[in-house]
Amino acid sequence: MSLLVSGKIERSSGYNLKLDLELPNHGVTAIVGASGSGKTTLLRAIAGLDFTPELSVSLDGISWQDQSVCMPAHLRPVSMVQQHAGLFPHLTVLGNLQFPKRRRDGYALDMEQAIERFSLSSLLHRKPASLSGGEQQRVALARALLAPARLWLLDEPLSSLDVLARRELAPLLASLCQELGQPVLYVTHALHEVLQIADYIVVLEDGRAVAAGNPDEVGRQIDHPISAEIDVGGILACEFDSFDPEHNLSRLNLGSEVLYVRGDLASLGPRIRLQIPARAISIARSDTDQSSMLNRLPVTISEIGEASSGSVLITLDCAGQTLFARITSLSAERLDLRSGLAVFASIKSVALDARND
Amino acid sequence: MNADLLQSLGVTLLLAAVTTLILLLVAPPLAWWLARTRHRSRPFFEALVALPLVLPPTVLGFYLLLAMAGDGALGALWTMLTGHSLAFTFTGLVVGSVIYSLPFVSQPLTTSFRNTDGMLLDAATLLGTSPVARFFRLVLPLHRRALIAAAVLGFAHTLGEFGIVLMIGGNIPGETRVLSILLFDQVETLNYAVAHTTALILLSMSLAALTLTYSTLGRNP
Repeated sequence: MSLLVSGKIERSSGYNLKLDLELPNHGVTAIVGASGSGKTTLLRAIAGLDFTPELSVSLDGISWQDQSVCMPAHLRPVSMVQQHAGLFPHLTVLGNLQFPKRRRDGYALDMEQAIERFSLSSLLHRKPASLSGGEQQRVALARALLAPARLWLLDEPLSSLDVLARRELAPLLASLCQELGQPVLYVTHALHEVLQIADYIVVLEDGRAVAAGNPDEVGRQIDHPISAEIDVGGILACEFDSFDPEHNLSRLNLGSEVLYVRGDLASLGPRIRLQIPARAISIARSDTDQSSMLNRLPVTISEIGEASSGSVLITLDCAGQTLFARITSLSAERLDLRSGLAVFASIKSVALDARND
Repeated sequence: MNADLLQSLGVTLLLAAVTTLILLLVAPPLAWWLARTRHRSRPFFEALVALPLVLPPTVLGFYLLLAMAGDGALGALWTMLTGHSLAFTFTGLVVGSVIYSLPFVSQPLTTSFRNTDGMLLDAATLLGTSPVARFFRLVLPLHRRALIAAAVLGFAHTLGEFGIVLMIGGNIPGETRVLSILLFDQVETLNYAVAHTTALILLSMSLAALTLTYSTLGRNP
């Protein structure tokens, strides 16, 4: 049983989305793609907000829409948080929280829990216009959780927030996603936002799913892990070792190798996933030369892509995990890189930052 | 104050109040449909609603008179249902006023409804709110200013009605003689003192209503 989405969406503007996805009906599914890749179109279609007659959607064998049926959006058991909070301006915060129609089945949180989890008690009698962006989004999330649903749709819920508000809300959102016990579709252009909690990742590009799978395998599926705007790169599974407060670095183990990442990542748990964009990796033939780069991993070149616009994509095997490096084709020639060659991949430490933008 | 004047004032205010109440029931759903529909027939219905804006009231009054006559469609139905005739009654005036004042209530609402933030409608839908519930719980409260303004405008416009009343209402004291008709009568009989008072009442009521309308619409949300 799962969430099935298949068919196509065509817009008069020429934009079209063509998909055949079978998504797990539990855990967090990250849908990653650059703007214009069709992420929001997909979520709106699942929620039933737009008329998309050529798309079939079903959850656990119950069809929400196909050639013959179309369940109205307000009857679909989904709850969705969008980029913009969408709070009702004529109601107070409390009025907004009380807006969802009570459905027969239970809901994720009750009112008191929602107010407490999102620290809303001091805001209850204020109007949305007087709230900051972060506060508005907290109200929107609480309100969505008060509307019972069997599927939670998050459409870039943090993207309209400033960095501070995002840092505050991201961990709360992450823990809620895991606690809910409902499937969550989390759409974002910033994979790191959802990387630690994602159980399944779908990469969208130009209306097509170019990769779909578990975090460990998705990197290997992508033919071209970078489009013009998004650089998914490789995803490494590491273990948290220790935090060095003096240098503000976390030490992570990757097999017998060690990686250093800025900041204290202890709260992320013993297993940490790192997304390493292809543009953040450089390649060296030896590890003798001095460099400011802290992280230098022995890797084997498994594939060298076609050169295009002066750069080339190199697929690297790192103790069984896959990394990608995008370097100039001139460097590739000068270093005489070939398949099977053992080299060193240097990773800018900033690129490893799992939580900060 | 002159007894005739008081009586006409009573008829006028009652007519405007009843008409406005009916319009507040009829116009919002109609305006919402006109604001939202993409149906090909929309321009035709918009034109139909707007017709009283451009048509001489006597034309509308003439057709209403034909319809309300004992052998007219509306008149025959009304007589069958109630046993009374519709023409030259207060009820007949209400029917005429509702049609005549409809665009003044419906158009500001349509304009305001067109500016409804689609994101808010989506948000309400995603919270499990049906289209009808959305209209009552979200759309109407969001546009309450426009509703008040439209109601006041409809009320004020009904106060000043003349041509239609003349055609379908006649001039029955206490039943269909409204202030504008009384004014006409007084001028015809050269009773300028009462005419002055009547005109002044109409003028000040209209000015007050319009001031209220513009102050309601102009306030910050």
